[in-house]
Amino acid sequence: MISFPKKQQKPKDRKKLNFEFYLGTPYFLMIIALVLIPIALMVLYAFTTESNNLISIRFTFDHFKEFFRQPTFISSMAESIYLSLISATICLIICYPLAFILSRRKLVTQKILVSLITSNMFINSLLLAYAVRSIFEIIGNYFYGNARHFLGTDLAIITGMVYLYLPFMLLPIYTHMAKLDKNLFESAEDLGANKFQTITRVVIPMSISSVLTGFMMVFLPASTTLVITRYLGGGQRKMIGDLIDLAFKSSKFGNGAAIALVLAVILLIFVGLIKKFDKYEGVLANEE
Amino acid sequence: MKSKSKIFADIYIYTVLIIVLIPLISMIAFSFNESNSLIVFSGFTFKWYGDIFTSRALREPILNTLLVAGISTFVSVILGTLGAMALSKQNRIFRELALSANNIPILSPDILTAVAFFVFLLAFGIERGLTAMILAHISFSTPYALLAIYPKVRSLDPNLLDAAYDLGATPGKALWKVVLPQLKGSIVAGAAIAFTMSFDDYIVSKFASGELVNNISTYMYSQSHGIKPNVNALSTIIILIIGIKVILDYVKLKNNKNEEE
Repeated sequence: MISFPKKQQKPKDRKKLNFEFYLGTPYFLMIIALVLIPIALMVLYAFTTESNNLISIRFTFDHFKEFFRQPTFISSMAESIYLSLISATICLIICYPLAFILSRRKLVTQKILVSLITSNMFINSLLLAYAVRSIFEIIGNYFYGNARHFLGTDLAIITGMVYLYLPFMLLPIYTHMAKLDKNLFESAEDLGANKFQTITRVVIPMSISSVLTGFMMVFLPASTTLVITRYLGGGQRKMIGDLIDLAFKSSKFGNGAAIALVLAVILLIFVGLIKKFDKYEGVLANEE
Repeated sequence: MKSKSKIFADIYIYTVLIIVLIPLISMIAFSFNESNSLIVFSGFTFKWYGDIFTSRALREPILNTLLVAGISTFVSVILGTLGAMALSKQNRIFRELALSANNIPILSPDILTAVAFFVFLLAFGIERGLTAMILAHISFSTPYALLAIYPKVRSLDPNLLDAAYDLGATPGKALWKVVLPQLKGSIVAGAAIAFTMSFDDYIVSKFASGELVNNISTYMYSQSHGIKPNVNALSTIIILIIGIKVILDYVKLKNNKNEEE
């Protein structure tokens, strides 16, 4: 193929630029109206007393006080975080070696296996949770004579989370592993590293950022789920999502918004902590 | 001959695969179950497949799901494409700001999106229902569509657009005849993601609908006596469609690869 020398960049034409900017107007309006304003309103609701008009609005911390006074809130918040951290760790333990092995296979085999393993992503999450529940019910029925034997246990909830969110762990790690330069392995070998050293000194440090992405992709939805407690919680387990749902059901909007806000802050702290471990990110960014 | 480590690797892959597929298989198996239990298999039948089309309870949720997913996918793909094109021409600071705003619905857990949207409806006195649900779905699908389309827009050759202008195309014509055809692949990918997101969503739908109208997810959630096998049958059909699509893709991929070799 003949390659032409790159044409000199033309001075930018104002009219064309404007045209493209106006094209984006509906998108920007949508983001402002349906994403940014709702979040601002949520913060506002969390800090104000409920009232019907803007004039009588008063700032208050009552919603937060109520949140921290009730031990159920704190305990279910802790429980949500605890269960989803365990699930994310299990997903990681399963997916890391899996992604590595998969990325060493033939391209077609890789693609087929990855899409089979992540096929659960295409099933409605409620139905998948229900399917996991029915598996537990079958086992409970068969071995313990009680279909509800496992429901509400940590085992059931964590299994449900792993089933629902495993693809979110596998995909980022696999995508990263598939992109790893094969020459890296050769050069590690040439420099005298054995297989184990290649993995610990080359593969793992380079994949930290994809691992953290995967971890967050599992942790965030798992800790705020409504679906898993509904089907696998056996009616006794309440996680933080259920409490928000409950607050809104009983028309305590300010309270619900306050819980949501506390949740958002806690999750942000977690995200920040996780990002802090990501010390190789800068290095990799330079390489690209 | 296979090495020992390769055999172990194979065992590992297929063990995970089988375990992952257990619920899927049980779901498909029980869509053929005679009784409406999902625990005990009592006989083989196709009646739940007929039930999808005849059941009155299921008709409304199915139509609503298709309507909401269809409209929100259509709108979010258009918004996402336009947004991606506008963003690619902006300066760096504006772009980064806009992209972080774009990432909010993607990164924040569904329940936060749902609560924020609920409060939004409340504050502006918008009635909950189908329209609210469609708006909500647009708000969280558009960012995914944009992310699918944006990289492709960035990689477009600007010379082609200049050439179109030089040859006398108006901006609208250049967009329609030069830019959009190049984006076709990524627009389809964006649409697929947006549709899946809308189809799979439960929490946002629940808050936005006010439980006045149902899509499939909220319908399933509201069934307190458990999900009936007709929902299994419906999902089996959907999985079959996706499965056929995926298989066709791989046949194509394999053929292309063979040609290359």
